[in-house]
Amino acid sequence: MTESGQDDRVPDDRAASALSDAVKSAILDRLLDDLRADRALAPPRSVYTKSDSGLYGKYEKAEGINEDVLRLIRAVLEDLAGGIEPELPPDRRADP
Amino acid sequence: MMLHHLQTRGGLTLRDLTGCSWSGPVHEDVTEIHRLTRVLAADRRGAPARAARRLTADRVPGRVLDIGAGLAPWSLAIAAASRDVHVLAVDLPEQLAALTEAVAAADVSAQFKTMAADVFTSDLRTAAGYDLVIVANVCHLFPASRTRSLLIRAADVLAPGGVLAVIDQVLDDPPDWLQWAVLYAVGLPQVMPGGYLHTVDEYVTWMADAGLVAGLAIPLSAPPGLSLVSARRES
Repeated sequence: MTESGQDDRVPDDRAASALSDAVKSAILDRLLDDLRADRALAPPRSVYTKSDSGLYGKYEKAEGINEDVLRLIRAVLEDLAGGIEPELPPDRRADP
Repeated sequence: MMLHHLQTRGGLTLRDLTGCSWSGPVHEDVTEIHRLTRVLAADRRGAPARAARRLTADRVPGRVLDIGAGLAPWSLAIAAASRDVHVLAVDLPEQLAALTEAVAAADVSAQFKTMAADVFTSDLRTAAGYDLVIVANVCHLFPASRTRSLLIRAADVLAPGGVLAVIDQVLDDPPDWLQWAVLYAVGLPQVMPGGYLHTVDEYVTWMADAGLVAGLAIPLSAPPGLSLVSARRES
């Protein structure tokens, strides 16, 4: 943070942080579901909220589109898709 | 635990992330992300042909054992390489009808035999042994100790010079956290199996414990992808 209280991280860092928070929350959701299914230790989803579960910390679902997060996701997926080997044509598949 | 959850099943959806309704105007990036997730998921469909090319590159294996064959996509791809390939596809009794149907549909029944067996209890040894034993999409069903014993049993039926090929999702540890966060965020781990994931190093160690010499360790599809880990019995 700067002295003026503004976030001085670059947009990519903020996007990665926002994405990481969302993913961690989703994983915690799954862990809670597993606990419920296996041991019924936690109350059903309908009677607790993320903010009072005590496991999530401060998690607020973003309102609207976070364009930095979308741009980051798109860039990483483009990178992964760019690494896909083109398929050989069928007539070469039996070649040794 | 967090690492395992990140790399199996689940994930957010684009709607979770964006609040975007598909019926309304869609942000350009969302459209492109949606397309890219389909490209990455579709890349898995080419994995059996890629594995077959790798596993037949040095020599065509005449005798193949497919353990936990399912619908036998991996051994079917290898059988397509040559009519000299003969496969024994093994699975549990309740899977056998679907397996037999898949083999017939591929028009390679003459190259295949099927057998109902539990690989943990059945004796699969033959006098000559197998040139290739495939354990594909099986190991994630079992924890480490059980997987290790499965691989030792699989190695035991190899002929001298034969290859044991494990095909499965491997645990990426340490992972590229940003990459996995993105894959998880768009729900791509939903195309992956749940269960137990093991690292390449674990597979290599278990194969060495089974007396095999390390071979390939390569990805077969784009992340979140399947990998091929193989090892050879010395001639």
